[in-house]
Amino acid sequence: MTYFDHAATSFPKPPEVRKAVLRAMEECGNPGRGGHRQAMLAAETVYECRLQCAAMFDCKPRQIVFTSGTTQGLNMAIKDLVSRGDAVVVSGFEHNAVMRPLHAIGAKVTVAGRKLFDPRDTLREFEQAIGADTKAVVCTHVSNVFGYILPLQNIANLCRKRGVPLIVDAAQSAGMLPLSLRRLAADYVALPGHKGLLGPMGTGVLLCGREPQRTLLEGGTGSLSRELAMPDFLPDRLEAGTPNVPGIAGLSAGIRLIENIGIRAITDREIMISDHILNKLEDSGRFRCFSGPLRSGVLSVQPTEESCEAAAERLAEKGFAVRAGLHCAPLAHASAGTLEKGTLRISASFLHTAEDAERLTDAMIM
Amino acid sequence: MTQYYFTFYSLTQAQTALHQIRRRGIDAQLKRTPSELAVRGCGYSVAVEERAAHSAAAALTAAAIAYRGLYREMGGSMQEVIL
Repeated sequence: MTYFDHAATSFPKPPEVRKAVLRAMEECGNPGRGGHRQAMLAAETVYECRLQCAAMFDCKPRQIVFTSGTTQGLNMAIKDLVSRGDAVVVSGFEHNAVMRPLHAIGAKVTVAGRKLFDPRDTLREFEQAIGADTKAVVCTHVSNVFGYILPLQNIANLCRKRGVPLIVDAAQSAGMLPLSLRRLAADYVALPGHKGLLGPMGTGVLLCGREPQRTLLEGGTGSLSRELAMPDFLPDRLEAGTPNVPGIAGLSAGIRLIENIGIRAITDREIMISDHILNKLEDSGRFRCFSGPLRSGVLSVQPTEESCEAAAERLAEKGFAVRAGLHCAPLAHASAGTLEKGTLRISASFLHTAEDAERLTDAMIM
Repeated sequence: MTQYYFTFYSLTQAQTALHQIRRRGIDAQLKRTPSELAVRGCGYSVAVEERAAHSAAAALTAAAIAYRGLYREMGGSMQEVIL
């Protein structure tokens, strides 16, 4: 099977990651829950990953909160800052991990910027949509459906100028594009450990640019145990319960790999593979392709002669893993006019070769 | 051997302190805060030998890391000290 669904999760996990997970399962206890060797080794493992994340995302180790994935991080961030009836501005390319929590809370949502690959329009729409009553802006860095790279730094600058908190969904950019919490001055950035950072599923990070008030979970933290209230300091305030130490160990190994290769090299490679696929599909005349100047390695297309689901099934039979449907982002499809049919999403990895891309496009066109 | 304990509520803060102290070439250990000092419940400490206490405190000050307290272990009992 040739895997082109890296936007869902990276696959297969590198041997270094698998080895680190196994080692943690064999050697680590519960961090922060004792002074014995196993607990201390676990604490070292977790802290090493905090240091790596802090270096990669330009923040302090205490600002790194480990989560189960982007969805948990977004829920923590949104539920800290948004209450029922609050006005919130989102981009037209948000995932359900943003839209469902906002819906559950009962927030008053304004969608800004629905034109694909048009950063000027996106920014202009945000400028118009952010008002005096806006309680928060929630914005994805890269559309998980179309790979559109939104003008995040400009949106962050705008939020800072207007004094509005910013929550960033970095599900499709962490490990693939440079990301600095300090430069963005965002309140929260939620990201996965299992996609661009190559870690195991069930890992993620919430970068905290502020001291959280409300907590999503309460429980043991290994600190201030006599007190019923959650600690008021990070990361303990948001890390209730036993952390996923094997997952974090694997994430640490994944980040080490990314550091060794370099984010720039990864981005260039993914875009090169993706462009190769795009060019061949466009030339075939049998696909409607969604692309523009600011696109990551994620590419969405619609076959003109069959449904997306049928095409994905046909490709699976030929040994290619791609994803068809709405990709949990109906808002993005509504913005792009693809809500009825969905799209066929091809998400490349830096590990792909031009030959992989060639074989995939041959299978798609034939 | 007399040891000095820099105490912290947060494991992560204690680890950050340990990292900074070791970066200065000072030998230090991460330990559970002794129960008589952990009045609000569990915490962690960074322990250094007496001769390194001043250098360790300077390393923490330089990195803007605040510790909850500093204690000297003497004959099995802990005594608060101010450097």
